[in-house]
Amino acid sequence: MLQPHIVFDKFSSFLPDDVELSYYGEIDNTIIASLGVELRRKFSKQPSLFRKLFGVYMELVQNIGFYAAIPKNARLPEPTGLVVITNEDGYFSIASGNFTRASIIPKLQEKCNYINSLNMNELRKYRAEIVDKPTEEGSRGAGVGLVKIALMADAPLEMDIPMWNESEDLALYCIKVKVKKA
Amino acid sequence: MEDFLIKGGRNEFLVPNVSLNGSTGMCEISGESSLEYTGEFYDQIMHWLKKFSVEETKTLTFAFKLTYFNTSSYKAILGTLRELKRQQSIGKNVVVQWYYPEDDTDMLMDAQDLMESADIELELIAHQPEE
Repeated sequence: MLQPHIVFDKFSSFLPDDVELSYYGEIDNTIIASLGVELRRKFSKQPSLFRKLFGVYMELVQNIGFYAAIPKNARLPEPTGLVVITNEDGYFSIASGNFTRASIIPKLQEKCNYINSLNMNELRKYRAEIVDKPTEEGSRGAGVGLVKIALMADAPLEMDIPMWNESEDLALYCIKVKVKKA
Repeated sequence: MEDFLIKGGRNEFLVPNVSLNGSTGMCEISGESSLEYTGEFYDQIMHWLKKFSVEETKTLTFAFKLTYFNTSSYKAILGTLRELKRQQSIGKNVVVQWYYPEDDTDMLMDAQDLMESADIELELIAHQPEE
């Protein structure tokens, strides 16, 4: 049985300093809305910053809803994910993490690398190109979510895959987005 | 022609306010857009616009006053703008206004990109929205 102090130790060792908002658990529409309300409350005096953070937050959590997978035998609700907003030097960072199918990772990495190689004008042209394309197989969003995030971000997207298990077709997918404070 | 109204809100989803006035031709969508059934929601607007185009001769003015929309909504808004462009190209008097928060360069950029993708002229108007 997991003792309360162990839960706290794991939790506190995981979370970075200066957390503005964090959530781990089932990501359903009610949770997405509730966290959005909290974000709105926290940044109510900075409407411009709020709109940017909210835009990134919504794309990230909606992607968790679309693409999250659950490890075999794990007693987790589906979709389960993590979202953390931290206050860093000059930036707010929004990070999300979720298990997903390993087979979609190469395409995601390729897309993320390509998006990071584009400047603002090239990103805008790329969005215009793909917005009219039919939704890609396996993609449940409009297919332009990552591009929209990159357009709002003030630094390259940081993607990380800390766990990749091909035999179970399972990977842990994390992405971090930085937004300037001013 | 009958009006079409949707009272928006922020609950489980973000539903924009929609007001399409059949008597005056003044139309507006405002608030935030992140919907459960995005296509179906915007199809209702599209249906009304097509009907207005057939039944009415007066000028149609469509004001977009959204402060947030997700990528699915972006695609649906592009479809709406293309319909408005189609109406212009067959000689209908259609004016499209795009209000954006004056400090929101992302929203201005979205408007410029939608304008280019739909090949339609938007009146870009900076304003201070009620948050």
